[in-house]
Amino acid sequence: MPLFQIARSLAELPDEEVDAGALRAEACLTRFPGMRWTRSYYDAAARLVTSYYEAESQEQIREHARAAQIPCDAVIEVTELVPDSYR
Amino acid sequence: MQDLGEAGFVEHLNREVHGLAGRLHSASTLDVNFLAYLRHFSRFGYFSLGPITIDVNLIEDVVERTAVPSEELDAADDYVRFSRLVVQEVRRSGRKRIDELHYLFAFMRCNEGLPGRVFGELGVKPEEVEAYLKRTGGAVSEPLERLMSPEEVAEYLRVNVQTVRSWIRSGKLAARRVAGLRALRVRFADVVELLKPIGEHG
Repeated sequence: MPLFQIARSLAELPDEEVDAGALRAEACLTRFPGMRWTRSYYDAAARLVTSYYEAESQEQIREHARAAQIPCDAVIEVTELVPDSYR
Repeated sequence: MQDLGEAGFVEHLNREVHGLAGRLHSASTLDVNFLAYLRHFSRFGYFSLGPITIDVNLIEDVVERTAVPSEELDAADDYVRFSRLVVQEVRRSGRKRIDELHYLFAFMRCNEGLPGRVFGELGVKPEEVEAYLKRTGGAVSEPLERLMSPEEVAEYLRVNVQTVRSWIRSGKLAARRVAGLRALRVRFADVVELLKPIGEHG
């Protein structure tokens, strides 16, 4: 399953939206079999969440974000590099 | 984003919401989430916790009649507002992991949709539920081994305490005495056994 990096800007949204959005994102995953949330990072200063999901396509990522009512500003396919491979 | 909702109660609830929304051809609304929550914890058609008793079948009827058909099973706007209330409850409690009480208190505070109507009519506040749980050590999902006094059994079943005492005397309801005291205690599992759906009694 391809891995995608998603940028989500929370600039205009209330503080609790960081966690509330995560709650809805997880809830909506039941609609997308095979899609998996692997990790997210929140930059509080920039009010930007960077998420990593395994999904079939960019379209599926955008559809999931729309279903969960969470921002989805940019989606790019990425490759994971893990330290174990270089030790 | 914090991983607040890892496997557990929330995951089970999400599956139930998904199934319900699919069956009703509805978006994931506040009402659908409320019904899924009540069904998750209901016993014999009732959600019961201290001062709260809700007829879940009645709620299901209302949701089925009022659900707005939608081709998309997306999060509805009222569910978006509700999700923020859940997060506020989590922060208020000081705990990190979402549990069933966070959901219950968010439903009680949301003041809209079916939960707003139900808790408005019941007139029960989250503080009263908290006080009940502190007093009894109970939980939304009552552990079956929990011990109850005859008074608590009467409150739970909505019957007179004398009725409970007569069941104990006749052996219909198993009870134990606390060593050296007159106090009687009943296992919650034995209370649940009394609640047979109509038609199952001999």
